[in-house]
Amino acid sequence: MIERKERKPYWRDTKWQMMASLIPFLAVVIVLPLYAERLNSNRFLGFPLGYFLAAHGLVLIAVITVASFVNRQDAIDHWHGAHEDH
Amino acid sequence: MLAEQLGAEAAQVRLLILTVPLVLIAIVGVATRTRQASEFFAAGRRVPAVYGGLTFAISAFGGTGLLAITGAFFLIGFDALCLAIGGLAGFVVMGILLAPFLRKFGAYTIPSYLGARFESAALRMVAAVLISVPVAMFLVAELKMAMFATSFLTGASGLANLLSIGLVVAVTIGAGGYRAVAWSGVAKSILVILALLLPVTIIGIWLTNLPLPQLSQGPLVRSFSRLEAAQLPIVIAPGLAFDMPSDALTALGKRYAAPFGAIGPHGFVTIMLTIMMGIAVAPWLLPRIASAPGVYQARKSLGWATLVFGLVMLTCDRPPFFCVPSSSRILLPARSPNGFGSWRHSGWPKLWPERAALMPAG
Repeated sequence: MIERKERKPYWRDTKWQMMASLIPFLAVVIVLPLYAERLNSNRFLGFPLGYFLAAHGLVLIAVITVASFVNRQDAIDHWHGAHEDH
Repeated sequence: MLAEQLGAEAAQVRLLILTVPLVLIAIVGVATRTRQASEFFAAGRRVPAVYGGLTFAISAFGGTGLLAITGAFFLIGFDALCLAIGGLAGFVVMGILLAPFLRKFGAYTIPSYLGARFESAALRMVAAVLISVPVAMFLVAELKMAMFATSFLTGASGLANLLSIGLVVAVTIGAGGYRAVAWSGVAKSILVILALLLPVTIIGIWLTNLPLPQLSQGPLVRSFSRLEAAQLPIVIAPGLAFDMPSDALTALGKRYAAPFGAIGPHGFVTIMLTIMMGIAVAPWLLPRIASAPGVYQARKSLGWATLVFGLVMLTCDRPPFFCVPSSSRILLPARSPNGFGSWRHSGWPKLWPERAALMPAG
């Protein structure tokens, strides 16, 4: 169980981690498809680059975002003693 | 296929395809019957992250996504990505902002969370009423797809099929609650993924001699784009245009990989963000997190959900390319008045839908 004096720093770290994971991801998701047309003149593995990045690239970015969030949030939980026994 | 080789009629095979999974699901439902609240609402909080994520992704995708998103990719190509990216981003938002906190609080459903958090029974009622609206809409869409699929398989009228499906669902949920839904959902999700991946991979190997159709079909896309460049104009939709294809047969109007022909750039971003928020707070998805064993597992299951959803989304955009015949057969006039039947490949529609799913072009 988390100690009382740990609550504020725990919440602060959690909040920063949340923003650090979400904001760059959302920025890429919103901006990347808008540039797809210009990127399409290049090729990657035979795919038009814009299409490849908007489909495969975003999947990769999403998975990396969640995976890194899970690991780092777990580290924050352990650091502040907020983790459950598992 | 085995039944076919044993000499069964096509109609019998179809009936078998329909009844065997339904009976299996009903058996799972009855076998997992329970009367305990934590078992009924949260599957005893024992569903591991991998299975949790699997059911998350596949139930977000649903029968609707399987048919409609694949169809949208077929007709408007790149622009259909707004649906898929929206779902993908929805899982990221849900995993980071919502699900771990709901799980930590320990509530079974969203109304019970709001009711307990703000200590208000009225709020709980209001939340339950509000939530039933999107759930009812989703249910109608899913049931319509189920009716479509079952009428294709049995040839019977829609209502009889609807009643039989409703019966199985009622037996499953009534007896086992979420425990039955979770475990039969795992079985269903594995079936859905296999049903999607296997044909796409097999046809992919036929066409390009390479497995992993998600990555290896670049050259196919390129030859496809060349044919399109010769026959289709470049279309640029106005900024907020949102021109989703209807379920009627239409002729192909835009190039596959060129963005914003049917949906304008602003429309694309708006729809993407709308779907993202919709998936992130979806009342038929979010309460599933209650079944995760702990907060860490809850976060992890959303990671798996993102991965599975991404895989499904990258598989769903493949089928359009299977309708490109080998190089000698060229697409037919794109804006033919006959629509669907006569573009891209003349030999294909005759086989469709009986055999097309498992036959290479030609």
